[in-house]
Amino acid sequence: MPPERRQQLAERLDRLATELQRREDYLAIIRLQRAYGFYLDKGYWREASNLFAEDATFEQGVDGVYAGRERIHQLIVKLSGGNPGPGLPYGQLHERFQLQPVITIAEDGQTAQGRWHELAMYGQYGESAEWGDGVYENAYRKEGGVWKIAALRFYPNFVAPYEGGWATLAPVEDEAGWRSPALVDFPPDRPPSATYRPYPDVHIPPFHYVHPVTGKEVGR
Amino acid sequence: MSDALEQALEAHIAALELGIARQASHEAVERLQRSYAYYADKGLWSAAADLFAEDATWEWGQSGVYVGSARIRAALALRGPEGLGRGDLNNHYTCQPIITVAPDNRTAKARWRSDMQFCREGKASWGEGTYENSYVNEDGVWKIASLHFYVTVLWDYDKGWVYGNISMDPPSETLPPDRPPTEVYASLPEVYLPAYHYPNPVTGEQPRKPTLPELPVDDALAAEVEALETRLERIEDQRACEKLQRAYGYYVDKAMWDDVADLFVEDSTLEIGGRGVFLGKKRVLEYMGIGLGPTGPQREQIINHQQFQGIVTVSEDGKTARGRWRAFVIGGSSWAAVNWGDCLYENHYRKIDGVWVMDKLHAPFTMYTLYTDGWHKVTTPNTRPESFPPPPDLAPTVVYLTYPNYYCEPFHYPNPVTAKEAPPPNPAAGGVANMADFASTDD
Repeated sequence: MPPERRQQLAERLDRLATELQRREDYLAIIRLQRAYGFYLDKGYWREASNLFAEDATFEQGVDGVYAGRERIHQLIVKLSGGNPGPGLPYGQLHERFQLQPVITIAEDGQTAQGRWHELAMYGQYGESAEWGDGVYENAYRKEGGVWKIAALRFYPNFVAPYEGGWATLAPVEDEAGWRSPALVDFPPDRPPSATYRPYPDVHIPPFHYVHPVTGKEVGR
Repeated sequence: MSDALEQALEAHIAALELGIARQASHEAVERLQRSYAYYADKGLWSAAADLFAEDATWEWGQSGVYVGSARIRAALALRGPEGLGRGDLNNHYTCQPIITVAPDNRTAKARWRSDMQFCREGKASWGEGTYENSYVNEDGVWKIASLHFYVTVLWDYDKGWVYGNISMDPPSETLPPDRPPTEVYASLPEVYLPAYHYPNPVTGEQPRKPTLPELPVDDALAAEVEALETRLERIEDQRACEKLQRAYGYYVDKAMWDDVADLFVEDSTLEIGGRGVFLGKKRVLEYMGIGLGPTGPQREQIINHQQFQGIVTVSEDGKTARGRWRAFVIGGSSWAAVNWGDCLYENHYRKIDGVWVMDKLHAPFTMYTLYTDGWHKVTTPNTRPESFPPPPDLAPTVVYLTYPNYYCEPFHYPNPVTAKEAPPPNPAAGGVANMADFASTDD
């Protein structure tokens, strides 16, 4: 085989190796977020927070931005009932379904973004049961060949009581004032990047990606 | 010799290019359909309609068929003006894809399902149904070529399915469709089986793989090719296991017990809830047929076993795999309890002669509750070997309690970031003692 022909084939293989890597990255990022959900289900807070990069951020609703893995760990514990885990106490239900991923990997293959739809079942036996609905727009980063959550942004849409469901929810009056009660004594490192009113108001969490066919921005 | 090497390399590289491109297409179809759902959620009708090819078709329940993206936009807007008004809810959780990209990478088909949460004029409702859609690759851009949503059930939130069924709307009079419904059927209490676009993943015809010339052992490029081929095969293995698990769910939904049993082989095992272990395909069939009722969908009954959030791990040698999944169950009938179910799977898969089969299906329950009450009031205890016939071949491998108690089926995979195994739960998990007072290895 002439050397130039060999060179040509080698270049095609290089391109293929890059393409294949992107397919593997896509699956690895989906695995990462799904693993996050399965850990939360069972009260494995440390396993969940270990999925974040050291300098990652976490922002939920209008609670503000919490920075750094250890702060995120404390935050997850506070938001989930306060027990240190691993495990849930008698009577707590904490099912966090991670659904419908749209993953976009940067050209250089080192960062990515993902939109997810969460369906949740919260409960305290004998007391309360709720359905949860929300959207994630997260950022991911590859460090030393391992994908980590670099920024988690969760937009809760509702937490609705089982009895009567979402039809019973009243609008939020103060757009910045519906902070999670569990975080009253745990202020964020930075104010919220944006405020919004959840259901029954209509809020469109910004899309990180352009329309798959037209290439245009959607929902802005 | 040199020519033979060149030809062999060329053939292998071309096959790799196509194989990797088809995986990219798989991702593109996922993006397309999931985007459709995100747009529909918020009443972004124009963005949703723009996902369709020029001459595409759209059909929802008994709406009839709308042809072309302009007509599809108008049909979507029958729901209301662009964007939703306050109080309006139009959630479409769109999940469980079985995507089949054509061998030439120009078209694709997919089965999906949506769970839908609605609210209109202060009235909350839910729905669930199946898509059988097709897609087209137009110069590298994937578009929806046909969307056909089959409604399984719609129900009044306050009453639940079976007792609060809502029937599908007939074709619109204000915007009549271009063609009548392609299939006439009704949702619960009636039942209908939307045709699967794919054969049974185990017993059906398998996708043909081209025979490629052998590569020499001592060539650097050939070694590189083989390494990439193995990596691509592992991705295909993962996708095949996902398909197997999702196909299982779609068959259980419709009580297609023979198709369910066909996903297992003679020495496979099945263990669901606390019923014990059933050995082999024949006993799997008995478990389903004797324990759960006759084959095929039954009027006034629903047994949706929705397969969500799979984490599939294929072994390095590509011969076995594991999968953690959840099942979100919508179950019940007019003659038995109507319940929500939330279950987990930690399954084993095995590759036999190139075909992935169910090796061990292990499905611990997390929580079952009656629709009328909710999980804060009523929970159904775990099943036992004597809960209903037939008895198992082997006793349960693990005895545990369901919600409001706590059980964590061990994770088959190490933490994706730390690569360490998760520790066992805190000794106080499932109790009311303060977990902080007990030693934990979770740090």
